[in-house]
Amino acid sequence: MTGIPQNAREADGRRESAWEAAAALGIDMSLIESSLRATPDQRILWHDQALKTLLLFEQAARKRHG
Amino acid sequence: MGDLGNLLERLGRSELEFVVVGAYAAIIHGASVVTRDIDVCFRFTPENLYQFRNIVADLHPVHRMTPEKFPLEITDENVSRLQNLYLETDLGSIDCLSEIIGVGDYDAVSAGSIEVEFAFGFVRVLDIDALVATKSRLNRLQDKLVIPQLLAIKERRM
Repeated sequence: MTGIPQNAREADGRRESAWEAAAALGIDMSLIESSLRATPDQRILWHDQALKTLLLFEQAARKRHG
Repeated sequence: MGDLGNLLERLGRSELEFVVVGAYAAIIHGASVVTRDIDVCFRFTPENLYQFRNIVADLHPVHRMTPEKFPLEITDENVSRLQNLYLETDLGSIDCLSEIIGVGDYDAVSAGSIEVEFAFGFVRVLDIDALVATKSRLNRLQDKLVIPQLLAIKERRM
């Protein structure tokens, strides 16, 4: 054990924010930023469009692979 | 409005008192996830169940967890025995729950909810703290992935 901090934030003693923690997990925070700028109506519209696309892909994959 | 959004609008325009819970609630708060269903919690009283049946009656609701996909039937005989409904409709899937793990029954869920304004009106949605509480209790990857987003969103709003 070298005692070397995992990242620079730990080194300067600052507690990682929830935003930084989510980003560190690989979550695309630009999508969250964009969603937070939108209205609730827009958020569910975007979601439902994404779901529709996902279902179309699944349907196409089922047709292709039986 | 997409299909699940249309389903939500239908419920939101009705007299039924309900709270949106689950992943769709997280999406309403701003999380970036995709879900195939809307989860709602309401009191499973005979009045509410008959009212819910009437709201979705023309959407051909069926019990999606049964292989036979039995149509939704609320009768005087079964109404007092129902606890949860997992349905498929023409507008998508909807789960109706009488209580939520980590939160409690409808009264607790309602107390842990906020009112959100949509173009069609106001809908109660489980708040971020209660959502995190319930998702922390569910040991599913999809739930664990949404918790960091919810905590980040909460932090950004503070």
